[in-house]
Amino acid sequence: MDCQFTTSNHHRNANRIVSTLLLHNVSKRFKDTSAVQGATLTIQSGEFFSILGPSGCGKTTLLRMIAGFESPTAGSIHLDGKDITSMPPQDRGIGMVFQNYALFPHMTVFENVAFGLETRKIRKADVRSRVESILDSVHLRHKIDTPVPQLSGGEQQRVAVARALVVEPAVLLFDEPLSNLDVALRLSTREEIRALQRRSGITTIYVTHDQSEAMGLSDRIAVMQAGRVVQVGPPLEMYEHPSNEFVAEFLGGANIVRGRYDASSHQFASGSFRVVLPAGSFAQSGNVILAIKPEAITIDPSVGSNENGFDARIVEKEYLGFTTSFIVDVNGLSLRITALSTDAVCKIIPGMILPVFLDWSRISFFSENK
Amino acid sequence: MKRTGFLQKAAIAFLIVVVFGYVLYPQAVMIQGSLLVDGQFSLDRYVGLFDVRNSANVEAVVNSVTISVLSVLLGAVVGGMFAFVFTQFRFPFSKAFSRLAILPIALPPLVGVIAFLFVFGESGFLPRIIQNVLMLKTVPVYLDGFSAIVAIHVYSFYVYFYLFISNALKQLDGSLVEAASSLGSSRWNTLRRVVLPGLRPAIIGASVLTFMASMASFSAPLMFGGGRRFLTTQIYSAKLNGELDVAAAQSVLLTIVSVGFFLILTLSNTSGKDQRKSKGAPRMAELTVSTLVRRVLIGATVLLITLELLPIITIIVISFVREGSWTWQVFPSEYTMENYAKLLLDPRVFEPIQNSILMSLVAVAAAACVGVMASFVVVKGGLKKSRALADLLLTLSFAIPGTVIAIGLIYTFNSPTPLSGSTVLVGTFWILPLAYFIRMYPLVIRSTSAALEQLDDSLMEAGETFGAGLFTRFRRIALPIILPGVVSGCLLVAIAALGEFVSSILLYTYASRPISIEILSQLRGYNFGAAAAYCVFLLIVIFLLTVLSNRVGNRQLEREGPSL
Repeated sequence: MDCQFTTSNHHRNANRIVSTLLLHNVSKRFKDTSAVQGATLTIQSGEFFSILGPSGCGKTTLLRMIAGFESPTAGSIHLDGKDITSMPPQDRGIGMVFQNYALFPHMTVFENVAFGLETRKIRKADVRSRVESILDSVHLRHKIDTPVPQLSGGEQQRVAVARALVVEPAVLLFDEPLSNLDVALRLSTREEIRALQRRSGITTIYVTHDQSEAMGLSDRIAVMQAGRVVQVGPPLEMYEHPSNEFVAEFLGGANIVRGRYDASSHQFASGSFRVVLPAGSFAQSGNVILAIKPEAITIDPSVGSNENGFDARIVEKEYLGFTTSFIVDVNGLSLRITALSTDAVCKIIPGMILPVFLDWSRISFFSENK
Repeated sequence: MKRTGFLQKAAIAFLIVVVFGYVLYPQAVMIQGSLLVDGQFSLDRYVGLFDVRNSANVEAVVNSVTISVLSVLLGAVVGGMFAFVFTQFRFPFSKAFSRLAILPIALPPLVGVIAFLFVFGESGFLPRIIQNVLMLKTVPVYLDGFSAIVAIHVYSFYVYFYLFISNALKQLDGSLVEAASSLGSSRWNTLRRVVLPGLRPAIIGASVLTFMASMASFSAPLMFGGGRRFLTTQIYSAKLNGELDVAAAQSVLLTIVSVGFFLILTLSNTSGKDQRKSKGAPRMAELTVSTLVRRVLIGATVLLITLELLPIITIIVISFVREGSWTWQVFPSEYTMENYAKLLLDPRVFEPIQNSILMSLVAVAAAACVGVMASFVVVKGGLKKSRALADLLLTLSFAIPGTVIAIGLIYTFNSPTPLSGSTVLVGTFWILPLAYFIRMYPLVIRSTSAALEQLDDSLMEAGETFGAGLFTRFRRIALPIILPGVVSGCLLVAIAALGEFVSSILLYTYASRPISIEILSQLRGYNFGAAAAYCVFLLIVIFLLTVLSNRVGNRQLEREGPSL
């Protein structure tokens, strides 16, 4: 997991100009709906930056404003210190890989990749050699003269990446590029994108609704919810210290438990579920939220115990191979638990009543008094 | 499908009789007639068509091709502009204007031509107004000859371009345009290299249809041609002069052009089908232009569509003009309901209307039977490789010009044949609905096939699992799905048959004269009011049928393009 800590890849490739992108208070309204509200982000040069959120959260709109396909209703966008807020897309020098790839269907692989070079009036011989070398890097040199409709989904995806990269854009944008691929291909393409980005050192912004994609690829992630950026940070930090229950649930699949906290007794109560929280969890009494990650609850009797033991009734069991997932009932509270599939865990069956234990270091506390 | 095996064989046999007997056989007889000189095989008549010494025939070919090419070019400009404006811009009443833009296809050919004559002709409204305003002795500008014919063709046929290009623009994936601009492509470069290639199939399709329709066009050359010769009018005058074999040779030439283009269109359509549909949720392409260009385009579109309404308004106005009262004035001075009163009360005036309605009903009934049967065989008959061939044969008559179909029928049915129940059909009432049927039944096939494609076999199988019998399954599952297609196809046939002119003029007798022929003879007798009243009657009926067709829920006109 430590690999995720590798932050920005500053100037990994010395002959490539890398670029910093600044978004200042960017907002977008469509008629009566507000798609993006006051987004402020700084994307460092050479960084792999993901914008993560559920569908309809405004992440694609934000990306399209960076590309220049939509103009913000408020705020400004700066690339390397230059205000590009109202610059037409063709002048921005920003490459984009579309969700449906947007390959020109009447052209071959070569013609697609060469398109951006030709608009830049580059010499024919240079065009050829640059197209060939970029196709080498996506392992598609042998398909250079194939009409794009004859390619498989994965190959089309790689052509789309090559076409965006070959013009050496200042920033490369990805709009959910893996969502049209099947699961196996998604994983290998993900690795390829990461490797390409590291080699080229290009500043990359990647929009996705898949938290594992964002976690696996990114130096930093911005989580968006209902048009707002709610948290920005490296994956590990986001996972371990979510700033609100939405991030905790979206990124870590945490159980969200709403209840009341009493500061004098340190007791938390949600229905008939009661527990004494560690001292200092909250400053004062009030409505609070606990975000309990599925792995923060121990169900394996062989692992050991602590003083926060509860009796849990096993409601459902889902064997997933390396891990096993349970839904348990603790005093009327339904919780999801993930455990390693040890021998002891595999023997658990629905209907059993077992002690489960909470690991406070993996539980986040949020006040609800906003 | 064992139970339907016999039914299917019977249907196929019946369809073969129809296609070979009434479509291909008359053409074969006609070709034979064109090749026999005094009982001897000879190519003389064909040589004559291109004989420079006999300039009339060469002139006809050159003129027909010239007006067709001009019609395609100008039609593409007008239709393309409308498509661009209505898919890209929103402005006040844009929706209403976009509906008006498909109006010309609803006009029967002769009605459109007459309306043009009243508005833009030498004694039309517009030239007279200009003459009066400028106080000139003679009319300064008016449409006549070439300009008039091309104008009418553009007016009637730009709708092909408008509908085809609109559809293509709506389906053009917006991310392609965005991808081009993110790769640094200018608007112009994107238009040229990304948008136009995407529109190519639509432009080719509309061009072929317009070219075919212009070559086969008869009403406009007849009314505006003056001394000039065109292929269709040459066929007509050859037939009038009793030189049927000369007419046959000219017909063959015209058919080769039409059917040739029809084949190109059909073949290119099937190859275009396997184009990849982009995944995800494609948004429509937005093509930005400068404010000036935008204003100019919208202005031109609104102006043209307003002009387009003039002929129809004019015809309505003229239908109220008292007979003989409109001579030199700019606007007619005396108005009356007389023309309409006669239409309904005078049995002699009503006779053509009665004829047209009867003949349409016969044509619709026959087209419905054959069309539905053919659709089932083509779509659900389990044909694989032969499907394309069956489809082609069954819709081939659509590509044959009306003039040619009439000549073929004259050849075939001027003597008793088994196909006509051993009677001579030429000179009877029945030859007209037969011609209408042959020209128009492919319309029912097209609309019914489209509906049948949606009838998934699994639906019928699902019915079977519930124990429903063949009849119940047809009535409860198949019929509700295909009925809208059948009905809208039949309404299109009715619309086309009611105003049919091109075949009728070669086949009618006084007793069987349809509305269109009566309009022409009223016009020749300078009874403008009466001619216009007939036109308005046709327009009202067509309007009602179109509304009905839309209510059935199958907007075939807008979806698949107009009929020829």
